[in-house]
Amino acid sequence: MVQNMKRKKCITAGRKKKKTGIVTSLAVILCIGMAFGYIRFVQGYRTFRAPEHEAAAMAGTPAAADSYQTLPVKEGYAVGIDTNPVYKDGVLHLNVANNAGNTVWFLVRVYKDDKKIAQTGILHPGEYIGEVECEKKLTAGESVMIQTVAYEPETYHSEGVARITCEVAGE
Amino acid sequence: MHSRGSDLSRLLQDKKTRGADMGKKTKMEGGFAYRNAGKTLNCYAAVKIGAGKSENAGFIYDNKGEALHCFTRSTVRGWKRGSGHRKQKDGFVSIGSGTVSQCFFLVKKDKKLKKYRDRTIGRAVSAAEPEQIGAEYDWDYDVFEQENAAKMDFIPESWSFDPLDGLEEVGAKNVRIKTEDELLDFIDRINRGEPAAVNAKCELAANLDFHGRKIPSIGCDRQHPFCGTFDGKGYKIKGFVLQGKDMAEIGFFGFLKGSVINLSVDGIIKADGCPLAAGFCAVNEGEIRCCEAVIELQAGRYAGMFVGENNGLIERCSVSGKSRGMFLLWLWPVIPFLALLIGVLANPPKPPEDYVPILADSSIVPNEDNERGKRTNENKASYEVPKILKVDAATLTAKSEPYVIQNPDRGGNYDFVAVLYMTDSRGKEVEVYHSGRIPVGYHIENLTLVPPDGTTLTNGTYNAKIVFSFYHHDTGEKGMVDSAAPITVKIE
Repeated sequence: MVQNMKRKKCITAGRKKKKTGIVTSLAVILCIGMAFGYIRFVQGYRTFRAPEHEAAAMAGTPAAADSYQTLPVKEGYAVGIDTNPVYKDGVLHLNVANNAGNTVWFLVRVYKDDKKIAQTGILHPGEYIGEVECEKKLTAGESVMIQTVAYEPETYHSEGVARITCEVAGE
Repeated sequence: MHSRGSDLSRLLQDKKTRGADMGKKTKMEGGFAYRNAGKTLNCYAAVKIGAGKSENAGFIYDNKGEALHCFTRSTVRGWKRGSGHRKQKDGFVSIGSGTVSQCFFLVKKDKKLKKYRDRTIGRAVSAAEPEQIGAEYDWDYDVFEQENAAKMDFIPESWSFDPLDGLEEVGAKNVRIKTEDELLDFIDRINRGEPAAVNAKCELAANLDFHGRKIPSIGCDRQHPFCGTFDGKGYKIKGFVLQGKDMAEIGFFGFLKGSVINLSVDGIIKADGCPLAAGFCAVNEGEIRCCEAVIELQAGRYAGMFVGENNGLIERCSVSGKSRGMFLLWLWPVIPFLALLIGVLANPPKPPEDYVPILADSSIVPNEDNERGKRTNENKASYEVPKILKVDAATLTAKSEPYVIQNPDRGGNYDFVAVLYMTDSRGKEVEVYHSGRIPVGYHIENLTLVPPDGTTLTNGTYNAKIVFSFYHHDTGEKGMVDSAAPITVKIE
């Protein structure tokens, strides 16, 4: 006796398909979640974070050396800097000053071969920093680029960037 | 009972052939059988095969036996063009020296298949009229659905096989199976080699549903074959999963030396790591009559959707379902992660902004005549501003016509902020207007003067200037020296 042997929809295959669908849906949902997480991370990472005030900043101007100069910046402020900074024991003595007459805040970055090797905190007008620790060893005669990134006080809007290339002096 | 049994020389030959095939990396599949060395009569296959790297035949991959009154309407992704033998029937059989009589296969819209098609047995679906088939191939087309000729479905009810008509009584203990557990117990006894079970005359007394449970094959290997009689009585066993890992062959019946009739099965075969896989029976050296299989097969190296190797007799059986490769199954859920990974690698997070961006002016509108110049890294900026600003004394807004301060898109990469200074009677500059950021390609169409507290603007003509401070469009860095444009302000 043969009863209803007519070919019907494959129930087992349907169940399997449903299982695969659930797994795939979960994978897609997880993936979308990760994508959103990544976007949020990138957005957060990209968001401006105000640089802190330089803890080692000192009031006044550094002791004048022969190579110390006050350089006017076209945006309307002046930067005092030792144009022949000395590198010693991992520290670059650059004596950067934010002159008292300026109306901007700025911080200083040091680049070697386009790679940032040092950065200070914010210097307010009338403050200076004598030395900054470098991530890379320097030798006398090498060139470094010193960049001052200026901000409008409190708002942190850009007030321009000044760049100067200096030759490092030995001990 | 017409069990043909196995003879040593053929086994050795088969092993040798299979061993030679093992050197190939491709999967070999037949829509109905991987290899037929026995008889296959009045059978049909309607399956999808050919996933992954494979060589396929619509019905039998390697035919060394006899195929009579069979047809396939399988969907095959990669058709194998046979070579070296005149009798082979591409699309139906791939290789082998067996006989193919009064068989045909149906071609759907597979253009590639046309060049492989044997003109004598391959035909388009639209040309497959049962009457014509009956006349040309001496078919008993009562087994077909006649209302829809193109569909060419079998009518399984027409296939009832009465065991009293042909099967010998085995004479062993009779077994009636009504539940899933009874079947599992019966399989266990067979696979342990218990003679009463191996040679039993078994009848199914109900439909069984395993709901996705894993079960072993009936007659798990060559050393533990099933030699009895299994009468499905038209019932169906469904919902089972067969796992073929580390096994020589896998199928609902693993190694069959007995007889199976009137049984319908519906399940999943996972043959990853198993060389020979089939939906209904992996190796048949007995007889299979009037059986049906609906199978999802994850095939190993050698696969037949109904039977792997047939050295016996298969008559009036059908198979439907599909074969799929393992690779895509695993890869599919991984694809979104790969895409995400590629996206992350292609777009690494940029360093934080150096500045707080200046907010765009709330009244900016896009320019209508943007030239869309190509942005460069050069310090490029421009602005457009009328020389005369007429202001209504009452409202302090630009009078009669719009006063447009525009940042044209000419490839510039600097936004700007515009600040209007008027010179008072004492020659002192007074700021009376301060815009927000006007991005490249935007302009403002009007402005309202906002003099400082205590300052009153009276009617008259004044010298004034607009100072533009530029900020890089992408970084927000203030750039270049501010630019000033002298204008005249008329307060009326």
